[in-house]
Amino acid sequence: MADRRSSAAYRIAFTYAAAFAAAILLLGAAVYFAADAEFRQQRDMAISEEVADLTREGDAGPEMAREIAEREAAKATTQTFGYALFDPGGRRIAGSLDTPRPPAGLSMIEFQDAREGPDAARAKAVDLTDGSRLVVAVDSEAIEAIDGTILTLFGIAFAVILVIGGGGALVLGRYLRRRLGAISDTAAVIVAGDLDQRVPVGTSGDEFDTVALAINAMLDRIAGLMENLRQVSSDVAHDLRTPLLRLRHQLSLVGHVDGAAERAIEQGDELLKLFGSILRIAEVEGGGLAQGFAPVDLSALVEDVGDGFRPALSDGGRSLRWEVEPGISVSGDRELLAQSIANLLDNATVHTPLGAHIDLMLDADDQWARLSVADDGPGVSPKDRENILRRFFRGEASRTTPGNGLGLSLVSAVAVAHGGDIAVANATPGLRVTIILPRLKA
Amino acid sequence: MRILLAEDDDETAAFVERGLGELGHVVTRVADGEDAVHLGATEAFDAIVLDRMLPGLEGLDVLRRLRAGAVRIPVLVLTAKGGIADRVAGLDAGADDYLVKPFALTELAARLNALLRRPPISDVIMRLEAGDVTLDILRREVTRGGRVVPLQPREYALLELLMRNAGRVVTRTMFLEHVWGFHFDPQTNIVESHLSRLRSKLREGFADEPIETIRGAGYRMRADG
Repeated sequence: MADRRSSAAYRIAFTYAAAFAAAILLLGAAVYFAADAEFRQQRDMAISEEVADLTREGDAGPEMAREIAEREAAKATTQTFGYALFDPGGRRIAGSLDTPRPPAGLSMIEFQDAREGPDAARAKAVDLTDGSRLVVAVDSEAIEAIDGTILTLFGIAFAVILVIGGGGALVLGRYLRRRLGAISDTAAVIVAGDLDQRVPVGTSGDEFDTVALAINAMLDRIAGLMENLRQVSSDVAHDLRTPLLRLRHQLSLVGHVDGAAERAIEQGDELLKLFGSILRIAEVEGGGLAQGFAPVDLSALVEDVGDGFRPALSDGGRSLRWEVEPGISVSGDRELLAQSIANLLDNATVHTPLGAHIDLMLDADDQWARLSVADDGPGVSPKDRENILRRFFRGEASRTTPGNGLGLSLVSAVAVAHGGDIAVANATPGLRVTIILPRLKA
Repeated sequence: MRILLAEDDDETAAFVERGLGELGHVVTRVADGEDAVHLGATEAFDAIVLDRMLPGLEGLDVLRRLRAGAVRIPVLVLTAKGGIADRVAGLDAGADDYLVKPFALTELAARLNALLRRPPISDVIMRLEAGDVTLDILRREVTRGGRVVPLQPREYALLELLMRNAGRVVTRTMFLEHVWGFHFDPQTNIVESHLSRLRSKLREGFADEPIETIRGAGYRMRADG
């Protein structure tokens, strides 16, 4: 029972049952007091009417005595009223009500019931013209009986409600605990390390099922992120091993081979660049960049970057063409957008043979600005195309080309951070990478 | 040149002190922010190299206090944070340049040199000269030996940066920042390609090369042409 006392489910259910029972109790008390007062008032009125009735018949001792005898005879069986007539000396001269002379007016009296002994009654006493005193009384028993009935009825109702409520509370409490227990049990299993567990979802679609579905969706998201994190950590560890081994090898040559120190420094720089890229992607994916966004003339930026790259590309034996629709603006970070365009151009250069053509294009519809870089190189196999945006991914064909497999990951992260998206398609031949960004209305 | 170095990490400080010392600078090192404000405001340095993470008083607060006290000495901020927002915060606080750790000593030296020789803003320079190469800033015209050399806008910008720092090394990242506005280093050799075009245009009809390549550091305009 100790854990039941600390259970919110039971506490709520029992409190509810107790509140219901208390309401019945309150209602019972109200009915009791209202009925009692009403009956008493009606009784007093009946007595007064009877007194008025009697005194109308005659207001002197002998006539009254006769009248009382008549009424007592007529009503012998029902015994509604009791009568007594006292002479001015205080002696009872008529009526069967066995009581000492009461004071004038309404009062409670005690009389000797022939069968039950001393009993309480309500009486009204009036003085007649000859000085004798008429007393009409009604036994309190009837009202007490009704009051008792009311009390009994509500007492029983209270007890029944208490029993049913308590039982219901037990059932309801157990039900709530079972439903909530399913959720906390699952959570406990997950805490213990089994991330594949999910909260069981019922078929009724009630609030508990809604909560279970929401928790499961959250767990899926967390599991996805965990998997991503695990993947990235192992990728980072794996991809850092190779350059570190190269650096180590180069360092072992220092003092023996000319230029080994310079090459070691270069390899150190490459490693730093790799870390820089990882951090930059993390920064972009971390969110919160949007508050620094400003309008960027994407058309001018694309031309600017293209213009900056053209000599280097033609020195490298590739030609760059660009087709830029003027006047397209987006809300964003100029530096990140420039780096994305640069990464796309880097990517196209690295993965194409000499003589390749690279096309840089920017156009837009009402909603979206569309930037794409296409080449006529060997392209990417459909299998690799699915993975090309993954961090550190290097296609089979490009194991030996420079780069760290992070360029397109950054472009993808930047596009998403700007509320856009990235798509990789076959340009037959070659590869086309397109990013869309929400266009800023002029 | 007298340089104030505010850096709490002993290893980095020793590395910078030694390196700048070898280049002929006199380095005074402090390890916390309060000292940096005090020395920076009371002694005559030619430049301040300021780490962002300092005990006592944060680097940018040091900078703000110095600037609030009307100290106009060029300040180069060092930081371990390379984030976009961090750089903006540094420049907003009044830094003249910004370098992300880890950095090569040649890079720091080149940037300090560029800061040290930066002419006072009041001196409006209309014309730069280095040997027989002249650059007319107003007309955006370059001549060598009196003959006009037609340049593309980027080539002109590269040359202007080199000539403003004639005799001193300009690094690849300085070119990227000043000419392209990039704070990242693309894989494609965009700096080298533009420089080689600029060089061949300047060389046309002449035997010597006014722009030298400094291995492992960058490029330098020969001050004597």
